[in-house]
Amino acid sequence: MQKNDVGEEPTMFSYPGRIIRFYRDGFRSMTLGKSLWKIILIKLFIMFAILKLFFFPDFLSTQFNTDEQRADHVMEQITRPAQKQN
Amino acid sequence: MSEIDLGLVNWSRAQFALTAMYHWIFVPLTLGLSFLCAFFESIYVKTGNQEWRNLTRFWMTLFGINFAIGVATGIILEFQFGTNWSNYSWMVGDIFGAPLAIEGIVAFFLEATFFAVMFFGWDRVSKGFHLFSTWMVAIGSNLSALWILVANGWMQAPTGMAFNPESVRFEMQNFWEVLFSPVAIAKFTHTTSSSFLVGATFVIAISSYYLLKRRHVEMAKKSILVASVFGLFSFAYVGLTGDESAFSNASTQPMKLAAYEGLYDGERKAGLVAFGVLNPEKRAGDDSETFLAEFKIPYMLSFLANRSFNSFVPGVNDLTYGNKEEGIVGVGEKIALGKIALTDLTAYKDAKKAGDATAADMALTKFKVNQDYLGYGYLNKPEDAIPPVQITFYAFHIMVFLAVFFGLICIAYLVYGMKDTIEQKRWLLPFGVLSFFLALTASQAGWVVSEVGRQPWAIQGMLPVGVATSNIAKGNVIMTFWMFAGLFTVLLLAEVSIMLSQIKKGPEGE
Repeated sequence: MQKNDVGEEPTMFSYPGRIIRFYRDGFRSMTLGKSLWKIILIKLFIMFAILKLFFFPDFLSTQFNTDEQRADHVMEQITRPAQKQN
Repeated sequence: MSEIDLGLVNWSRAQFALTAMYHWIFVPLTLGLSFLCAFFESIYVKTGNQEWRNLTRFWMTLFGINFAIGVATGIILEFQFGTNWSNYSWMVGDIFGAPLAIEGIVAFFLEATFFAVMFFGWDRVSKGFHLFSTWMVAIGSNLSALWILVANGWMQAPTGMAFNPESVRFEMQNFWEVLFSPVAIAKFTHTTSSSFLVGATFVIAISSYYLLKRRHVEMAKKSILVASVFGLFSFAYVGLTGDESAFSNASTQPMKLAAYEGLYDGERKAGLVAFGVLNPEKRAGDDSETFLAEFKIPYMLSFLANRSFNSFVPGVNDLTYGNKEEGIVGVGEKIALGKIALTDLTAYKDAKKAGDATAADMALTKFKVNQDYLGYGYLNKPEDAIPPVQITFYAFHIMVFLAVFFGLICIAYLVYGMKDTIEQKRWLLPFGVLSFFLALTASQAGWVVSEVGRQPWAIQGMLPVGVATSNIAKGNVIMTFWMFAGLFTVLLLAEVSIMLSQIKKGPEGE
Protein backbone atom coordinates (compact mmCIF):
# COMPACT_ATOMS: atom_id res chain seq x y z
CA MET A 1 0.00 0.00 0.00
CA GLN A 2 1.35 3.43 -0.97
CA LYS A 3 2.25 5.78 1.87
CA ASN A 4 0.97 9.36 1.88
CA ASP A 5 3.00 12.58 1.81
CA VAL A 6 4.00 12.33 5.48
CA GLY A 7 4.89 8.66 5.31
CA GLU A 8 1.71 7.28 6.87
CA GLU A 9 -0.16 4.35 5.40
CA PRO A 10 -3.60 5.50 4.22
CA THR A 11 -6.58 4.40 6.27
CA MET A 12 -10.13 3.91 5.00
CA PHE A 13 -10.97 7.41 6.23
CA SER A 14 -8.10 9.04 4.34
CA TYR A 15 -9.35 7.95 0.89
CA PRO A 16 -11.99 10.71 0.45
CA GLY A 17 -9.35 13.31 1.26
CA ARG A 18 -6.92 11.78 -1.21
CA ILE A 19 -9.56 11.76 -3.92
CA ILE A 20 -10.44 15.40 -3.24
CA ARG A 21 -6.73 16.35 -3.34
CA PHE A 22 -6.34 14.35 -6.57
CA TYR A 23 -9.05 16.37 -8.29
CA ARG A 24 -8.02 19.70 -6.69
CA ASP A 25 -4.38 19.34 -7.73
CA GLY A 26 -5.41 18.07 -11.13
CA PHE A 27 -7.57 21.12 -11.79
CA ARG A 28 -4.89 23.46 -10.43
CA SER A 29 -2.19 22.06 -12.69
CA MET A 30 -4.25 22.31 -15.86
CA THR A 31 -3.02 24.60 -18.64
CA LEU A 32 -4.96 23.95 -21.82
CA GLY A 33 -7.61 22.24 -19.71
CA LYS A 34 -8.58 25.56 -18.13
CA SER A 35 -9.58 27.00 -21.51
CA LEU A 36 -11.45 23.81 -22.34
CA TRP A 37 -13.37 23.95 -19.07
CA LYS A 38 -14.32 27.57 -19.82
CA ILE A 39 -15.68 26.47 -23.20
CA ILE A 40 -17.59 23.60 -21.59
CA LEU A 41 -19.15 25.86 -18.96
CA ILE A 42 -20.09 28.59 -21.47
CA LYS A 43 -21.57 25.92 -23.74
CA LEU A 44 -23.57 24.36 -20.92
CA PHE A 45 -24.80 27.78 -19.83
CA ILE A 46 -25.99 28.63 -23.35
CA MET A 47 -27.61 25.21 -23.72
CA PHE A 48 -29.41 24.95 -20.39
CA ALA A 49 -29.89 28.54 -19.21
CA ILE A 50 -30.81 30.03 -22.58
CA LEU A 51 -31.78 27.46 -25.19
CA LYS A 52 -33.58 24.98 -22.97
CA LEU A 53 -35.22 27.60 -20.78
CA PHE A 54 -36.42 30.04 -23.42
CA PHE A 55 -36.57 28.14 -26.69
CA PHE A 56 -37.02 24.45 -25.96
CA PRO A 57 -39.74 23.92 -23.38
CA ASP A 58 -41.06 20.38 -23.19
CA PHE A 59 -44.20 20.85 -25.26
CA LEU A 60 -46.40 18.27 -23.52
CA SER A 61 -45.17 19.07 -20.00
CA THR A 62 -45.87 22.78 -20.36
CA GLN A 63 -49.22 22.44 -22.12
CA PHE A 64 -50.77 19.71 -19.98
CA ASN A 65 -50.83 18.78 -16.30
CA THR A 66 -51.39 15.03 -16.32
CA ASP A 67 -50.21 12.06 -18.33
CA GLU A 68 -53.82 11.34 -19.20
CA GLN A 69 -54.20 14.77 -20.80
CA ARG A 70 -50.93 14.29 -22.66
CA ALA A 71 -52.04 10.91 -23.95
CA ASP A 72 -55.37 12.38 -25.04
CA HIS A 73 -53.60 15.18 -26.89
CA VAL A 74 -51.27 12.79 -28.71
CA MET A 75 -54.23 10.57 -29.56
CA GLU A 76 -56.00 13.61 -31.05
CA GLN A 77 -52.90 14.41 -33.06
CA ILE A 78 -52.39 10.96 -34.49
CA THR A 79 -56.03 10.31 -35.27
CA ARG A 80 -56.77 13.73 -36.72
CA PRO A 81 -53.66 14.80 -38.64
CA ALA A 82 -55.82 17.36 -40.44
CA GLN A 83 -55.96 19.39 -37.24
CA LYS A 84 -52.21 19.90 -37.37
CA GLN A 85 -52.28 22.29 -40.27
CA ASN A 86 -52.61 25.41 -38.16
CA MET B 1 -50.46 13.71 -45.23
CA SER B 2 -51.26 16.74 -47.36
CA GLU B 3 -53.14 18.29 -44.42
CA ILE B 4 -50.00 18.42 -42.30
CA ASP B 5 -47.88 21.57 -42.47
CA LEU B 6 -44.95 20.18 -44.42
CA GLY B 7 -43.05 23.43 -43.94
CA LEU B 8 -42.99 22.83 -40.18
CA VAL B 9 -42.12 19.16 -40.67
CA ASN B 10 -39.26 19.95 -43.02
CA TRP B 11 -37.80 22.68 -40.80
CA SER B 12 -37.99 20.33 -37.81
CA ARG B 13 -36.31 17.70 -39.94
CA ALA B 14 -33.64 20.15 -41.12
CA GLN B 15 -32.95 21.28 -37.56
CA PHE B 16 -32.55 17.73 -36.32
CA ALA B 17 -30.32 16.84 -39.28
CA LEU B 18 -28.16 19.93 -38.74
CA THR B 19 -27.59 19.30 -35.03
CA ALA B 20 -27.10 15.55 -35.50
CA MET B 21 -24.54 16.12 -38.25
CA TYR B 22 -22.60 18.69 -36.24
CA HIS B 23 -22.73 16.39 -33.19
CA TRP B 24 -21.41 13.60 -35.38
CA ILE B 25 -18.27 15.55 -36.24
CA PHE B 26 -17.07 15.16 -32.63
CA VAL B 27 -18.39 11.73 -31.71
CA PRO B 28 -16.62 9.40 -34.19
CA LEU B 29 -13.28 10.99 -33.39
CA THR B 30 -13.87 10.41 -29.67
CA LEU B 31 -14.82 6.77 -30.27
CA GLY B 32 -11.84 6.01 -32.52
CA LEU B 33 -9.12 8.12 -30.91
CA SER B 34 -9.93 6.81 -27.42
CA PHE B 35 -8.88 3.30 -28.49
CA LEU B 36 -5.76 4.59 -30.21
CA CYS B 37 -4.73 6.39 -27.00
CA ALA B 38 -5.23 3.09 -25.17
CA PHE B 39 -3.04 1.27 -27.70
CA PHE B 40 -0.31 3.92 -27.52
CA GLU B 41 -0.28 3.82 -23.73
CA SER B 42 -0.28 0.01 -23.69
CA ILE B 43 2.92 0.08 -25.76
CA TYR B 44 4.42 2.62 -23.37
CA VAL B 45 3.57 0.50 -20.32
CA LYS B 46 4.90 -2.63 -22.04
CA THR B 47 8.18 -1.05 -23.25
CA GLY B 48 8.74 1.67 -20.66
CA ASN B 49 9.97 3.85 -23.54
CA GLN B 50 9.49 7.57 -22.77
CA GLU B 51 8.93 8.38 -26.45
CA TRP B 52 5.74 6.31 -26.34
CA ARG B 53 4.70 8.13 -23.19
CA ASN B 54 5.18 11.56 -24.84
CA LEU B 55 3.37 10.35 -27.90
CA THR B 56 0.46 9.04 -25.82
CA ARG B 57 0.15 12.30 -23.94
CA PHE B 58 0.14 14.28 -27.20
CA TRP B 59 -2.69 12.26 -28.75
CA MET B 60 -4.51 12.26 -25.42
CA THR B 61 -4.43 16.07 -25.42
CA LEU B 62 -6.03 16.18 -28.88
CA PHE B 63 -8.55 13.61 -27.69
CA GLY B 64 -9.32 15.82 -24.70
CA ILE B 65 -9.86 18.90 -26.89
CA ASN B 66 -12.29 17.04 -29.13
CA PHE B 67 -14.08 15.52 -26.13
CA ALA B 68 -14.42 18.87 -24.35
CA ILE B 69 -15.80 20.69 -27.38
CA GLY B 70 -18.12 17.85 -28.36
CA VAL B 71 -19.38 16.85 -24.94
CA ALA B 72 -23.10 17.42 -24.37
CA THR B 73 -23.75 18.55 -27.96
CA GLY B 74 -26.04 15.52 -28.22
CA ILE B 75 -28.25 16.90 -25.44
CA ILE B 76 -29.53 19.46 -27.96
CA LEU B 77 -31.11 16.57 -29.85
CA GLU B 78 -33.00 15.64 -26.69
CA PHE B 79 -34.24 19.23 -26.34
CA GLN B 80 -35.68 18.90 -29.83
CA PHE B 81 -37.47 15.65 -28.99
CA GLY B 82 -39.48 17.40 -26.28
CA THR B 83 -40.24 20.55 -28.26
CA ASN B 84 -40.37 19.72 -31.96
CA TRP B 85 -41.17 16.00 -31.82
CA SER B 86 -43.48 15.74 -28.83
CA ASN B 87 -45.85 13.18 -30.41
CA TYR B 88 -42.95 10.94 -31.25
CA SER B 89 -41.30 11.58 -27.90
CA TRP B 90 -44.44 10.62 -26.02
CA MET B 91 -45.04 7.51 -28.08
CA VAL B 92 -41.52 6.09 -27.73
CA GLY B 93 -40.85 7.23 -24.16
CA ASP B 94 -41.26 3.75 -22.75
CA ILE B 95 -38.82 2.23 -25.24
CA PHE B 96 -36.16 4.93 -25.13
CA GLY B 97 -36.29 5.61 -21.40
CA ALA B 98 -34.31 2.52 -20.37
CA PRO B 99 -31.53 2.65 -22.99
CA LEU B 100 -30.98 6.39 -22.56
CA ALA B 101 -30.97 6.14 -18.76
CA ILE B 102 -28.36 3.37 -18.97
CA GLU B 103 -26.34 5.52 -21.37
CA GLY B 104 -26.37 8.37 -18.87
CA ILE B 105 -25.23 6.18 -16.00
CA VAL B 106 -22.55 4.39 -18.01
CA ALA B 107 -21.28 7.65 -19.49
CA PHE B 108 -21.18 9.36 -16.12
CA PHE B 109 -19.51 6.65 -14.07
CA LEU B 110 -17.13 5.23 -16.64
CA GLU B 111 -16.14 8.34 -18.51
CA ALA B 112 -16.29 10.96 -15.76
CA THR B 113 -14.43 8.82 -13.21
CA PHE B 114 -11.73 7.39 -15.44
CA PHE B 115 -11.44 10.49 -17.59
CA ALA B 116 -10.10 12.38 -14.57
CA VAL B 117 -7.53 9.66 -13.87
CA MET B 118 -6.54 9.65 -17.54
CA PHE B 119 -5.74 13.36 -17.52
CA PHE B 120 -4.81 14.11 -13.91
CA GLY B 121 -3.29 10.78 -13.03
CA TRP B 122 0.07 10.78 -14.85
CA ASP B 123 2.72 10.15 -12.13
CA ARG B 124 0.01 10.25 -9.45
CA VAL B 125 -1.43 6.77 -9.85
CA SER B 126 0.37 3.60 -10.84
CA LYS B 127 1.12 2.97 -14.54
CA GLY B 128 -1.19 -0.02 -14.52
CA PHE B 129 -4.13 1.87 -13.04
CA HIS B 130 -3.59 4.76 -15.44
CA LEU B 131 -3.61 2.37 -18.39
CA PHE B 132 -6.72 0.67 -17.00
CA SER B 133 -8.42 4.09 -16.82
CA THR B 134 -7.51 4.91 -20.41
CA TRP B 135 -8.99 1.62 -21.57
CA MET B 136 -12.10 2.23 -19.49
CA VAL B 137 -12.58 5.65 -21.14
CA ALA B 138 -12.34 3.98 -24.55
CA ILE B 139 -14.68 1.14 -23.65
CA GLY B 140 -17.06 3.46 -21.76
CA SER B 141 -17.28 5.95 -24.65
CA ASN B 142 -18.08 3.19 -27.09
CA LEU B 143 -20.53 1.48 -24.74
CA SER B 144 -22.37 4.72 -24.14
CA ALA B 145 -22.82 4.94 -27.92
CA LEU B 146 -24.42 1.48 -27.81
CA TRP B 147 -27.58 2.70 -26.13
CA ILE B 148 -28.39 5.56 -28.47
CA LEU B 149 -27.70 3.26 -31.41
CA VAL B 150 -30.00 0.61 -29.93
CA ALA B 151 -32.69 3.30 -29.81
CA ASN B 152 -31.97 4.24 -33.41
CA GLY B 153 -31.95 0.56 -34.43
CA TRP B 154 -35.38 0.16 -32.85
CA MET B 155 -36.70 3.06 -34.94
CA GLN B 156 -35.39 1.35 -38.08
CA ALA B 157 -36.91 -2.02 -37.14
CA PRO B 158 -39.30 -1.81 -34.18
CA THR B 159 -39.29 -4.99 -32.15
CA GLY B 160 -39.94 -6.21 -28.59
CA MET B 161 -42.83 -3.78 -28.12
CA ALA B 162 -46.59 -3.41 -28.44
CA PHE B 163 -48.66 -0.31 -29.17
CA ASN B 164 -50.99 0.51 -26.28
CA PRO B 165 -53.89 2.71 -27.47
CA GLU B 166 -54.78 3.46 -23.83
CA SER B 167 -51.48 5.21 -23.10
CA VAL B 168 -50.85 6.03 -26.80
CA ARG B 169 -47.39 4.57 -26.36
CA PHE B 170 -45.22 1.88 -27.82
CA GLU B 171 -44.55 -0.13 -24.69
CA MET B 172 -41.57 -2.38 -24.21
CA GLN B 173 -42.43 -6.06 -23.95
CA ASN B 174 -38.96 -7.53 -24.12
CA PHE B 175 -35.85 -5.45 -23.28
CA TRP B 176 -33.46 -8.11 -24.60
CA GLU B 177 -35.25 -8.28 -27.93
CA VAL B 178 -34.79 -4.51 -28.25
CA LEU B 179 -31.13 -4.69 -27.17
CA PHE B 180 -30.13 -7.66 -29.29
CA SER B 181 -32.18 -6.83 -32.35
CA PRO B 182 -29.99 -7.69 -35.37
CA VAL B 183 -30.56 -4.19 -36.73
CA ALA B 184 -29.41 -2.58 -33.47
CA ILE B 185 -26.32 -4.78 -33.31
CA ALA B 186 -25.47 -4.08 -36.96
CA LYS B 187 -26.02 -0.36 -36.33
CA PHE B 188 -23.70 -0.38 -33.29
CA THR B 189 -20.91 -2.44 -34.85
CA HIS B 190 -20.96 -0.58 -38.16
CA THR B 191 -21.05 2.85 -36.51
CA THR B 192 -18.25 2.12 -34.05
CA SER B 193 -16.05 0.40 -36.64
CA SER B 194 -16.42 3.35 -39.01
CA SER B 195 -15.54 5.63 -36.09
CA PHE B 196 -12.36 3.59 -35.52
CA LEU B 197 -11.44 4.43 -39.11
CA VAL B 198 -12.08 8.11 -38.41
CA GLY B 199 -9.72 7.89 -35.41
CA ALA B 200 -7.07 6.05 -37.44
CA THR B 201 -7.18 8.57 -40.28
CA PHE B 202 -6.96 11.44 -37.78
CA VAL B 203 -3.65 10.08 -36.48
CA ILE B 204 -2.45 9.31 -40.01
CA ALA B 205 -3.43 12.81 -41.19
CA ILE B 206 -1.60 14.73 -38.46
CA SER B 207 1.41 12.42 -38.60
CA SER B 208 1.54 12.90 -42.37
CA TYR B 209 1.45 16.66 -41.84
CA TYR B 210 4.43 16.37 -39.48
CA LEU B 211 6.33 14.25 -41.98
CA LEU B 212 5.62 16.75 -44.75
CA LYS B 213 6.93 19.51 -42.46
CA ARG B 214 9.82 17.25 -41.30
CA ARG B 215 8.85 17.82 -37.67
CA HIS B 216 8.43 15.24 -34.91
CA VAL B 217 9.42 12.59 -37.44
CA GLU B 218 9.99 9.70 -35.04
CA MET B 219 6.74 10.32 -33.19
CA ALA B 220 4.85 10.56 -36.49
CA LYS B 221 6.32 7.28 -37.78
CA LYS B 222 5.50 5.44 -34.58
CA SER B 223 1.96 6.83 -34.59
CA ILE B 224 1.46 5.87 -38.22
CA LEU B 225 2.44 2.26 -37.58
CA VAL B 226 -0.13 1.81 -34.83
CA ALA B 227 -2.84 3.82 -36.61
CA SER B 228 -2.43 1.98 -39.91
CA VAL B 229 -2.70 -1.44 -38.20
CA PHE B 230 -5.76 -0.26 -36.29
CA GLY B 231 -7.15 1.32 -39.47
CA LEU B 232 -6.65 -1.86 -41.45
CA PHE B 233 -8.45 -4.00 -38.88
CA SER B 234 -11.19 -1.37 -38.72
CA PHE B 235 -11.46 -1.37 -42.51
CA ALA B 236 -12.03 -5.15 -42.52
CA TYR B 237 -14.44 -4.85 -39.61
CA VAL B 238 -16.37 -1.99 -41.23
CA GLY B 239 -16.72 -4.07 -44.39
CA LEU B 240 -18.12 -7.06 -42.49
CA THR B 241 -20.50 -4.94 -40.43
CA GLY B 242 -21.56 -2.98 -43.52
CA ASP B 243 -22.41 -6.26 -45.20
CA GLU B 244 -24.41 -7.26 -42.13
CA SER B 245 -26.25 -3.92 -42.21
CA ALA B 246 -27.21 -4.40 -45.85
CA PHE B 247 -28.28 -7.98 -45.12
CA SER B 248 -30.56 -6.81 -42.32
CA ASN B 249 -31.89 -3.98 -44.53
CA ALA B 250 -32.94 -6.58 -47.10
CA SER B 251 -35.42 -8.09 -44.64
CA THR B 252 -36.37 -5.10 -42.47
CA GLN B 253 -36.05 -2.07 -44.78
CA PRO B 254 -36.06 -3.35 -48.37
CA MET B 255 -37.11 0.09 -49.66
CA LYS B 256 -33.95 1.62 -48.21
CA LEU B 257 -31.82 -1.10 -49.82
CA ALA B 258 -33.54 -0.54 -53.17
CA ALA B 259 -32.97 3.23 -52.85
CA TYR B 260 -29.26 3.05 -52.07
CA GLU B 261 -28.76 0.52 -54.86
CA GLY B 262 -30.85 2.56 -57.31
CA LEU B 263 -32.90 -0.58 -58.00
CA TYR B 264 -36.32 0.32 -59.39
CA ASP B 265 -37.32 -2.99 -60.95
CA GLY B 266 -36.56 -5.97 -58.78
CA GLU B 267 -34.80 -8.95 -60.29
CA ARG B 268 -33.30 -12.32 -59.66
CA LYS B 269 -29.52 -12.59 -59.97
CA ALA B 270 -29.44 -8.85 -59.29
CA GLY B 271 -26.15 -7.08 -59.89
CA LEU B 272 -24.51 -4.68 -57.49
CA VAL B 273 -24.04 -1.15 -58.87
CA ALA B 274 -20.36 -0.46 -58.25
CA PHE B 275 -20.60 2.84 -60.07
CA GLY B 276 -23.59 4.64 -61.52
CA VAL B 277 -25.02 7.97 -62.60
CA LEU B 278 -28.74 8.06 -61.90
CA ASN B 279 -31.14 9.54 -64.39
CA PRO B 280 -32.40 12.63 -62.50
CA GLU B 281 -35.76 12.42 -64.34
CA LYS B 282 -36.41 8.84 -63.22
CA ARG B 283 -39.56 8.37 -61.12
CA ALA B 284 -41.16 5.25 -59.68
CA GLY B 285 -43.53 3.59 -62.12
CA ASP B 286 -42.25 5.28 -65.26
CA ASP B 287 -40.44 3.59 -68.14
CA SER B 288 -37.39 5.83 -68.30
CA GLU B 289 -33.91 4.43 -67.84
CA THR B 290 -32.70 4.35 -64.23
CA PHE B 291 -29.06 5.08 -65.00
CA LEU B 292 -27.33 7.34 -67.48
CA ALA B 293 -24.21 5.24 -66.90
CA GLU B 294 -23.58 2.25 -64.68
CA PHE B 295 -21.16 -0.51 -63.90
CA LYS B 296 -22.60 -3.57 -62.19
CA ILE B 297 -21.04 -6.60 -60.55
CA PRO B 298 -23.30 -9.45 -61.70
CA TYR B 299 -25.22 -11.52 -59.10
CA MET B 300 -23.60 -9.68 -56.22
CA LEU B 301 -26.63 -7.75 -54.92
CA SER B 302 -28.70 -10.94 -54.73
CA PHE B 303 -25.90 -12.59 -52.80
CA LEU B 304 -25.34 -9.69 -50.41
CA ALA B 305 -29.06 -9.20 -49.77
CA ASN B 306 -30.13 -12.82 -49.40
CA ARG B 307 -26.93 -14.91 -49.38
CA SER B 308 -28.10 -16.55 -52.61
CA PHE B 309 -26.94 -15.65 -56.13
CA ASN B 310 -30.30 -16.54 -57.68
CA SER B 311 -32.56 -14.82 -55.17
CA PHE B 312 -35.00 -12.03 -55.96
CA VAL B 313 -34.22 -8.53 -54.72
CA PRO B 314 -37.29 -6.26 -54.80
CA GLY B 315 -36.94 -2.82 -56.34
CA VAL B 316 -38.68 0.47 -55.57
CA ASN B 317 -41.49 -0.35 -58.03
CA ASP B 318 -42.12 -3.83 -56.58
CA LEU B 319 -42.31 -2.47 -53.05
CA THR B 320 -44.44 0.52 -54.03
CA TYR B 321 -46.90 -1.10 -56.40
CA GLY B 322 -46.66 -4.73 -55.29
CA ASN B 323 -45.46 -7.84 -57.10
CA LYS B 324 -47.86 -10.76 -56.95
CA GLU B 325 -45.39 -13.22 -58.49
CA GLU B 326 -42.95 -12.59 -55.66
CA GLY B 327 -45.66 -12.26 -53.01
CA ILE B 328 -44.91 -8.59 -52.30
CA VAL B 329 -47.81 -6.49 -51.03
CA GLY B 330 -47.80 -2.99 -52.49
CA VAL B 331 -47.98 0.23 -50.47
CA GLY B 332 -51.46 0.94 -51.89
CA GLU B 333 -52.89 -2.12 -50.14
CA LYS B 334 -51.05 -1.26 -46.95
CA ILE B 335 -52.45 2.28 -47.08
CA ALA B 336 -55.98 0.85 -47.35
CA LEU B 337 -55.38 -1.37 -44.29
CA GLY B 338 -53.71 1.52 -42.46
CA LYS B 339 -56.72 3.77 -43.09
CA ILE B 340 -58.97 1.07 -41.59
CA ALA B 341 -56.67 0.88 -38.55
CA LEU B 342 -56.77 4.67 -38.23
CA THR B 343 -60.57 4.71 -38.47
CA ASP B 344 -60.81 2.01 -35.78
CA LEU B 345 -58.39 3.88 -33.57
CA THR B 346 -60.45 7.05 -33.99
CA ALA B 347 -63.61 5.07 -33.15
CA TYR B 348 -61.88 3.72 -30.04
CA LYS B 349 -60.91 7.24 -28.97
CA ASP B 350 -64.41 8.63 -29.58
CA ALA B 351 -66.08 5.71 -27.73
CA LYS B 352 -63.72 6.14 -24.80
CA LYS B 353 -64.42 9.84 -24.67
CA ALA B 354 -68.18 9.14 -24.73
CA GLY B 355 -67.73 6.60 -21.92
CA ASP B 356 -69.05 3.75 -24.08
CA ALA B 357 -66.86 0.84 -22.89
CA THR B 358 -68.52 -1.76 -25.15
CA ALA B 359 -68.01 0.29 -28.30
CA ALA B 360 -64.43 1.07 -27.22
CA ASP B 361 -63.66 -2.66 -26.77
CA MET B 362 -65.16 -3.47 -30.16
CA ALA B 363 -63.19 -0.72 -31.88
CA LEU B 364 -60.02 -1.87 -30.14
CA THR B 365 -60.52 -5.46 -31.26
CA LYS B 366 -60.99 -4.28 -34.84
CA PHE B 367 -57.99 -1.96 -34.58
CA LYS B 368 -55.72 -4.81 -33.52
CA VAL B 369 -56.42 -6.66 -36.77
CA ASN B 370 -54.69 -3.99 -38.86
CA GLN B 371 -52.56 -2.14 -36.31
CA ASP B 372 -49.33 -3.25 -37.97
CA TYR B 373 -50.29 -1.04 -40.93
CA LEU B 374 -51.22 2.00 -38.82
CA GLY B 375 -48.36 4.11 -40.15
CA TYR B 376 -49.42 3.55 -43.76
CA GLY B 377 -52.81 5.04 -42.92
CA TYR B 378 -51.16 8.48 -42.84
CA LEU B 379 -49.86 8.21 -46.40
CA ASN B 380 -51.95 9.50 -49.26
CA LYS B 381 -50.46 7.60 -52.16
CA PRO B 382 -48.03 4.69 -52.64
CA GLU B 383 -45.24 7.01 -53.82
CA ASP B 384 -45.24 8.70 -50.38
CA ALA B 385 -43.41 5.62 -49.05
CA ILE B 386 -40.39 6.15 -51.33
CA PRO B 387 -37.35 7.87 -49.79
CA PRO B 388 -35.29 10.38 -51.82
CA VAL B 389 -33.52 7.86 -54.07
CA GLN B 390 -30.85 10.16 -55.51
CA ILE B 391 -29.56 11.38 -52.13
CA THR B 392 -29.61 7.88 -50.64
CA PHE B 393 -27.89 6.32 -53.67
CA TYR B 394 -25.07 8.86 -53.91
CA ALA B 395 -24.50 9.02 -50.15
CA PHE B 396 -24.17 5.23 -50.07
CA HIS B 397 -21.75 5.09 -52.98
CA ILE B 398 -19.63 7.96 -51.64
CA MET B 399 -19.39 6.08 -48.33
CA VAL B 400 -18.37 2.82 -50.01
CA PHE B 401 -15.82 4.43 -52.37
CA LEU B 402 -14.22 6.28 -49.49
CA ALA B 403 -14.10 3.12 -47.36
CA VAL B 404 -12.12 1.40 -50.13
CA PHE B 405 -9.84 4.44 -50.31
CA PHE B 406 -9.17 4.20 -46.55
CA GLY B 407 -8.31 0.52 -46.92
CA LEU B 408 -5.74 1.37 -49.58
CA ILE B 409 -4.33 4.24 -47.51
CA CYS B 410 -3.94 2.01 -44.45
CA ILE B 411 -2.23 -0.73 -46.49
CA ALA B 412 0.16 1.77 -48.10
CA TYR B 413 0.98 3.41 -44.76
CA LEU B 414 1.49 0.06 -43.07
CA VAL B 415 3.77 -1.29 -45.79
CA TYR B 416 5.89 1.85 -46.06
CA GLY B 417 5.76 2.31 -42.30
CA MET B 418 7.14 -1.19 -41.71
CA LYS B 419 9.84 -0.64 -44.34
CA ASP B 420 10.58 2.69 -42.63
CA THR B 421 10.32 4.52 -45.95
CA ILE B 422 7.08 6.39 -45.31
CA GLU B 423 9.00 9.64 -44.85
CA GLN B 424 10.30 9.42 -48.40
CA LYS B 425 6.90 8.80 -49.97
CA ARG B 426 6.12 12.49 -50.32
CA TRP B 427 3.44 11.78 -52.96
CA LEU B 428 1.49 9.67 -50.47
CA LEU B 429 1.53 12.02 -47.50
CA PRO B 430 -1.00 14.59 -48.85
CA PHE B 431 -3.45 11.69 -49.34
CA GLY B 432 -2.87 10.80 -45.71
CA VAL B 433 -3.67 14.37 -44.64
CA LEU B 434 -6.79 14.32 -46.80
CA SER B 435 -7.93 10.94 -45.48
CA PHE B 436 -9.25 12.33 -42.17
CA PHE B 437 -11.54 14.85 -43.85
CA LEU B 438 -12.76 12.17 -46.23
CA ALA B 439 -13.36 9.83 -43.28
CA LEU B 440 -15.59 12.44 -41.66
CA THR B 441 -17.40 12.81 -44.98
CA ALA B 442 -17.89 9.04 -45.24
CA SER B 443 -19.15 8.87 -41.67
CA GLN B 444 -21.70 11.61 -42.35
CA ALA B 445 -22.70 9.96 -45.63
CA GLY B 446 -23.38 6.75 -43.71
CA TRP B 447 -25.89 8.56 -41.51
CA VAL B 448 -27.48 10.15 -44.57
CA VAL B 449 -28.01 6.66 -46.01
CA SER B 450 -29.44 5.47 -42.72
CA GLU B 451 -31.76 8.39 -42.02
CA VAL B 452 -32.74 9.73 -45.46
CA GLY B 453 -33.10 6.14 -46.68
CA ARG B 454 -35.75 5.40 -44.08
CA GLN B 455 -37.98 8.35 -44.95
CA PRO B 456 -40.89 8.93 -44.64
CA TRP B 457 -40.71 6.99 -41.37
CA ALA B 458 -39.77 8.17 -37.92
CA ILE B 459 -40.57 4.63 -36.76
CA GLN B 460 -40.46 2.18 -39.64
CA GLY B 461 -43.98 1.39 -40.84
CA MET B 462 -45.54 2.75 -37.66
CA LEU B 463 -45.15 6.51 -37.53
CA PRO B 464 -44.33 8.85 -40.42
CA VAL B 465 -42.14 11.85 -39.63
CA GLY B 466 -45.03 14.21 -40.41
CA VAL B 467 -47.19 12.78 -37.62
CA ALA B 468 -44.31 12.71 -35.14
CA THR B 469 -43.94 16.50 -34.99
CA SER B 470 -45.40 18.91 -32.43
CA ASN B 471 -48.04 21.40 -33.41
CA ILE B 472 -45.83 24.46 -32.86
CA ALA B 473 -45.16 27.63 -34.82
CA LYS B 474 -42.87 27.13 -37.80
CA GLY B 475 -41.17 30.46 -37.12
CA ASN B 476 -39.83 29.18 -33.80
CA VAL B 477 -38.25 26.19 -35.48
CA ILE B 478 -36.67 28.37 -38.18
CA MET B 479 -35.26 30.76 -35.57
CA THR B 480 -33.76 27.99 -33.42
CA PHE B 481 -32.40 26.31 -36.57
CA TRP B 482 -30.23 29.37 -37.22
CA MET B 483 -29.31 29.67 -33.54
CA PHE B 484 -28.00 26.13 -33.57
CA ALA B 485 -26.22 26.70 -36.86
CA GLY B 486 -24.44 29.66 -35.23
CA LEU B 487 -23.65 27.91 -31.94
CA PHE B 488 -22.27 24.78 -33.56
CA THR B 489 -20.24 26.76 -36.07
CA VAL B 490 -18.63 28.70 -33.21
CA LEU B 491 -17.90 25.42 -31.38
CA LEU B 492 -16.43 23.89 -34.51
CA LEU B 493 -14.25 26.94 -35.12
CA ALA B 494 -13.12 26.78 -31.47
CA GLU B 495 -12.21 23.12 -31.88
CA VAL B 496 -10.33 23.66 -35.12
CA SER B 497 -8.50 26.67 -33.73
CA ILE B 498 -7.43 25.01 -30.43
CA MET B 499 -6.61 21.77 -32.20
CA LEU B 500 -4.46 23.52 -34.84
CA SER B 501 -2.65 25.51 -32.19
CA GLN B 502 -1.89 22.31 -30.26
CA ILE B 503 -0.80 20.48 -33.41
CA LYS B 504 1.55 23.35 -34.28
CA LYS B 505 3.08 23.12 -30.80
CA GLY B 506 3.45 19.38 -31.18
CA PRO B 507 4.31 16.98 -28.34
CA GLU B 508 6.59 19.55 -26.68
CA GLY B 509 3.62 21.85 -26.20
CA GLU B 510 1.82 19.29 -24.09
